[in-house]
Amino acid sequence: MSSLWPDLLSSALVGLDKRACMAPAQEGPLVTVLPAGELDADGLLSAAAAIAMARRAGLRPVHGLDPVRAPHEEQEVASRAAGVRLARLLADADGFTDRRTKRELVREWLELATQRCLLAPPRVLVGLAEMATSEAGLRPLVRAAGGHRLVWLASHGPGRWAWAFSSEPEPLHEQQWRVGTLDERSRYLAQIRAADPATGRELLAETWAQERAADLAALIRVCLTGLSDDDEAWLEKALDDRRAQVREAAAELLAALPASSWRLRMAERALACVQADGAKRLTVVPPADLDVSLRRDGLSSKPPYGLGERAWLLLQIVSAAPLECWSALDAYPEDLLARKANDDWQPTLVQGWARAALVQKDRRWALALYRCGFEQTPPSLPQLVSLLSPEDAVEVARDAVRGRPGRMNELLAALPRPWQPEVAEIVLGYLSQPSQRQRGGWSTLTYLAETGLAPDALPRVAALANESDDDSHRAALEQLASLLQIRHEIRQEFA
Amino acid sequence: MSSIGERSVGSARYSARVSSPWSLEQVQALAPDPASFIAARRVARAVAEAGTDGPVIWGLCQGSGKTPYKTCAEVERQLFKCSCPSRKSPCKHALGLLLAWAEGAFPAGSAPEWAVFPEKKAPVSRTPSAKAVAARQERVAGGVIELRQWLRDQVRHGIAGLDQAGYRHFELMAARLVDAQAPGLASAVRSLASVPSTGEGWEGRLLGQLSLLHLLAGASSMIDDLPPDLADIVRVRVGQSVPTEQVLAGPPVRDAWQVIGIRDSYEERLTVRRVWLIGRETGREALVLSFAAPGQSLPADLIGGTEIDADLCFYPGIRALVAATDGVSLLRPEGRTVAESLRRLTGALAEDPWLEAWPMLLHGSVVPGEPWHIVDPDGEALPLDPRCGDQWRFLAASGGGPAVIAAEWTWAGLIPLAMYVDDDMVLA
Repeated sequence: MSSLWPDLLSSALVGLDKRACMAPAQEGPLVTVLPAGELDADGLLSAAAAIAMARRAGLRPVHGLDPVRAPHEEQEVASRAAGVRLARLLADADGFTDRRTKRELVREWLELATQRCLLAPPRVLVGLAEMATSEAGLRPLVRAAGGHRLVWLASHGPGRWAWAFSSEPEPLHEQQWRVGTLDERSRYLAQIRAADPATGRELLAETWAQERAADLAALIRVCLTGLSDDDEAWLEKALDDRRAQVREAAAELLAALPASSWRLRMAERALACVQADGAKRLTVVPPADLDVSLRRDGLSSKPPYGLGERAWLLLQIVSAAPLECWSALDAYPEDLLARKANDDWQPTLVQGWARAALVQKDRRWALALYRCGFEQTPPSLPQLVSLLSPEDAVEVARDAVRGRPGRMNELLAALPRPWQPEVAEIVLGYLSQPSQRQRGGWSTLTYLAETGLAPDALPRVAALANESDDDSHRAALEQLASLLQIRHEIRQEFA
Repeated sequence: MSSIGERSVGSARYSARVSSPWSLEQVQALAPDPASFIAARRVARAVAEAGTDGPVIWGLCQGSGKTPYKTCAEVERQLFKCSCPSRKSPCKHALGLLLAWAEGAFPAGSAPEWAVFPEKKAPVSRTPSAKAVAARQERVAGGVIELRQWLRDQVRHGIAGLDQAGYRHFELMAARLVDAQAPGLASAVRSLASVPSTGEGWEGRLLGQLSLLHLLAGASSMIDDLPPDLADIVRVRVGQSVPTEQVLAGPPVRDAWQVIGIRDSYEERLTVRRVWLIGRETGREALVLSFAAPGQSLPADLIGGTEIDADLCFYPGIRALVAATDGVSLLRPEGRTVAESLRRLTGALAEDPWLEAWPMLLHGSVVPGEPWHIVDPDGEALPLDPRCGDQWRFLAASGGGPAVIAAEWTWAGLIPLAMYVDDDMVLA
């Protein structure tokens, strides 16, 4: 029937004036409506209409397509109410559209679900997948709550959902070690190191001479997987490499080995630079320059902007030295921090200790640094505060609302959330004081409290809102209360 | 159709709305823009002295000033009043009042003075004089003659260059048809302008549209010789308006009408809402259209995923008005096979050859690909309009298994509207 169509179209394209259209005698169902002979404009349009209409009315289905089916799911799906809630959160249907609040509420939902081995309902998986594509921190939870369906969906879906595949990627083959990209080679090495560190070590030794400096440094860092004292020998050898990137990478790994002689060397150097001078003072004498042994241990001579070369050496040494070594000078970090250093070395020295505390995750030092009023960066004070034990966190919270109003929110934000009851009590106490409402940071605190407070604080917050006589403050408290209400409801939907 | 996906609530709950007088989604659907709805959430938390009296609800809403605004609404007719200066309708206070009412109960009472709505005015129906009718027909006939000549000129001079001609080429003809009081033909001509930008094969599609417009113009010029039903269709397609009273005076079709899907689009500075219905008993398809100017909201009386016991009165063709509603319940639709759906489409095209869209309720699975398809249990499939993009939500919700899918047939393929699976409605 449509054998005529190409002729009609080519005449219509260039114009009937330039290209006449001859319609041959027709057969088939359209014989009564299709003209024959040379067509004028009306004839061409009529014939085209008949064919276009026949195509629409005679639309044929496509054959040979099979549905793709998702695998069977063993885990149960969360309750209907919980599923509806998650869909509403993802669709901003509760009127909370700010990104952080939404993320935290979704995170809370996912945590409650995964604790109970429940799955998110399939119809929200696209929303979850898109959210976790931009919020990488949510991915482990989304993977857990997404079940087999999520992996199946991602296998059909766009490449940006590839993170949904199980956290253990396809095992790689030796071929990829020899000819693969750096990323593939790194993954292969990590895979070997996880199973058998010694084989991984030998693998890297075989290709050592041919590797480019940047690649080799990256591959050395991969060996953090499976790192043990057995690795010290080859890492020490790597320190003799003439390429700075390689030495730095080896030094990083040696720093992570508690009993490495590299750490001992750093401790010796630190104690050589910093010596006690009576009970109240310290004599600091940083190395004059980057000598061969410092250079071998991965130190660099190029200070960051604003720091002298010797101060930079001091900072690198003190940051790298194990904090235990300082007990040679004073038993308690507080005593050491109370000493005054000669010349202008004090700030650099304290910054080195703070960096060491952060890298070595030393709570005792973090508390001592917090108490002595550490203010330099990096690391920031909130970073140190996040290391503190729960009991010490209470002290920080109390100081924050009393003594350090300027840094109150920064510090409270660094404490692990949800806040423990004592911290929550301190925050509620602060929110209940009418006099505090005029101070800066008050509304930011209500914002922090949205995820910091446990939902059972709702009646107290609601009561505070009722008592308030200031519109904007009442509005902030009501916003907080309604958020706690939602979090309370989310929990109930999982009960 | 990503624009639809973004605008709609990802996956609406449709079980809650039946228990309360109005659902949150219903209120959300009334919001002229998303910001109004978010603002309304805040308003809703502090509505004071609220009350209800029949279809009227009222309350005091705190604004930025000292005196709260007096806000009231008549929910049946969707009328809103507020003492705030906003020109949006409904304003955020009226939306907030509706939200507070939808989420909790208001005490009954008698409405204060400021919350009284005037009685509905009887529509003034004017029957145009015979002279006016004749004058109009003459103008339309003149426009149709011009259009036929224009169509002939297109194929005589060639359509190959029309992708470079721009909108003006079509707009001139459309404007003449507006003058000739044939707005239906005018918008048909205007819609031709976008065909050359639809990608590969646009020439064939344009010839198809031109030829169908030629058919319509031809039918219009011999309207007195057409069968009455077809003549009515042609009049509507040309653009003769049918007064609401005349439609409502026609015979009502009572059925459990399934609201299978809703699609909003933006056409000629208006938001157009298409609500597609299929009668459970009669199997008949219907389309309820509504329009809103910028800043105004569309009516939210028909909710996707529900079934209404209602009288529908039909314009010539598929378009209808809801004349009376008795009850609303949850929709649990049963889909049709591809073969049956195509049979019904063919029947519909026989009645109205110029149909551009037609609702289908298919029992089938979505299959990803280029393009995506819906395949029914008999293994017969229909392609989706490639411009609608990927339907991951549908694939996730159904796991590739069978579900009931509401879609709008167009010449470019199906536009998915909603999927019904496991007692849930998932929007495209």
